[in-house]
Amino acid sequence: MTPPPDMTVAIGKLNLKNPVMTASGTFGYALEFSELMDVNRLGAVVLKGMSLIASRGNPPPRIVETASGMLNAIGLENIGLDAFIHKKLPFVKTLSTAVIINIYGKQVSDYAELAARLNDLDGIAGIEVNISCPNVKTGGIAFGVDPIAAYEVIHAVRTQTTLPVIAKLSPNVTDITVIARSVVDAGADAVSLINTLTGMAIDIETRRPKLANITGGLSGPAIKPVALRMVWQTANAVSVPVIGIGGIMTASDALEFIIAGASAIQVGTASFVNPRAAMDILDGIETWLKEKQITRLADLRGTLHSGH
Amino acid sequence: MFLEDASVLWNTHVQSDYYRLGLRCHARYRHAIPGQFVSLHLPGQKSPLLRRPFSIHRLVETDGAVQGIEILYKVVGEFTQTLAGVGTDDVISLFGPLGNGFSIPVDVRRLYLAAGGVGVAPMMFLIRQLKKNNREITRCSLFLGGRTREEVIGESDFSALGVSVHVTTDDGSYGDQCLLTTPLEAAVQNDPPDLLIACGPKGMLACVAGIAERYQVKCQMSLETMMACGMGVCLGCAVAPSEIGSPYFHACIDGPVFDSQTIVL
Repeated sequence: MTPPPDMTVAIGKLNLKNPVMTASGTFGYALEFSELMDVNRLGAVVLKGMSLIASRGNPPPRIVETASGMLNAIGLENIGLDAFIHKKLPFVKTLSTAVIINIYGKQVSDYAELAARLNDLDGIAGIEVNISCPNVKTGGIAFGVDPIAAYEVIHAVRTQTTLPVIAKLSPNVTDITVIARSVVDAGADAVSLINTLTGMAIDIETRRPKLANITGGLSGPAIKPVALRMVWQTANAVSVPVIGIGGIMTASDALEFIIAGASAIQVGTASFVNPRAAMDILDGIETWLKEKQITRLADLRGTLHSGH
Repeated sequence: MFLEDASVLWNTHVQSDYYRLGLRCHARYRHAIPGQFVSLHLPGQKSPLLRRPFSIHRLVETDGAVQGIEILYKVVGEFTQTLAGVGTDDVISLFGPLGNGFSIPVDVRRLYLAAGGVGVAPMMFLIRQLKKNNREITRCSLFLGGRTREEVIGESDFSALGVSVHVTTDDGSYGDQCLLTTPLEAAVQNDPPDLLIACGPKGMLACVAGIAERYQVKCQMSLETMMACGMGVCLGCAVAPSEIGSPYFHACIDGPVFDSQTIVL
């Protein structure tokens, strides 16, 4: 019998047993999925985006389905850091997989304070910095579309923590590699991309937007080609690991991202369709590697043959 | 909650656009509560992308053991159109039971139910469960509304269970020509129940909530919202609370059944 392929991935000093992660905002605090699957088999779980203080989020309707995708404008509703520490961290600490906290703030000092306080917590393996949420009026994407502001946020986080720092990038920019280079210069250990693409949908009978926020973030299979292109561009532009996100529904989708240059991938909207999607994708990647007799996942990374 | 591949026991046309779908399920659905829902995904389904939620219409039992559940659905869009074509022994991804359910306090004796269109779906499970638990309900009335005669579902089934049924249709093709809230309000005014239960279109629910408030009657209503995950992680199904400034509820885990006083429709 052939031994299982080596799927380990290093994200800065963080070593993952495999490349399959969950995308922030689609996997709750991991607890929700623990009765459906062995969450610890995943390479890492990325928890719901968190702010210093609780946030109510946007009014409903917050989601609408569009062709091969969905628009959401949740508005980063979350329970805030203190409630997280008291209510969620006790379970999170029991996980043996890497737990990455996604953070966002309204100003640079919010990000810095979050990073400092998370640095001292047990059970947290890394920080993903959301500079790319399209659905909040201040903060979030405002930092992610300007290379100087992006630098400032990541630099502030970097100086406050020794944990691996992942910058989550927005696709709503002219050239994502400019932002990617900027956050790497600021000390990011990795970049994850893409967050959702800003979009909208209209009810023609009422002539009203289908989302109360008017615009929302598009996710799902509809955005995969765009995500793949941006991951490929970014992997060619920076030397840190790239984590591919965007419409990954199957192992085959995930493998496309790896070939394009991603070191790891995140499963997002797919978990809404199939709560066990991340696990199925993990199993599918392993099966495929065995079939192709590829013994190390790293050997597949960035092996795109360009030109026909 | 369980995620399982459930084989189709039956998928039969009822009348008009209405169908009943029987699904074999995990025996632990015996703990399911009326008002809870399941979410379905069809084999090979690419469009629509997301799962779709349905109330549990009743448990399918053999000698007291739960073998399956039944869904009552109306063909309204792409998903339900495809669902109507599913055959016996086909396999559907079944996720549930999800959400909370109706909570009938032990001292409730007089119960009024208001069901608009496919909103009748959870009522059958509720009535059967109350019977099964030998609850002392001395009066149970169902106000059943549909747009037309064809959209009035299950009248005789409820009558057979001892429920007094008041039918209304929008077009007057059957029962009284009015909204169900007209006879409901008269009944609540003349003979108030201990509890009012409602499920149906948003406009109807808002009207029922108003009746409950005017006559100071407790009311629980089952809501339908846009929903993605069904398990409290996407936070897409937000429901506004009546208490200003308090956090949004989420239909999938805080609901779909809410006390009408706690929410704003």
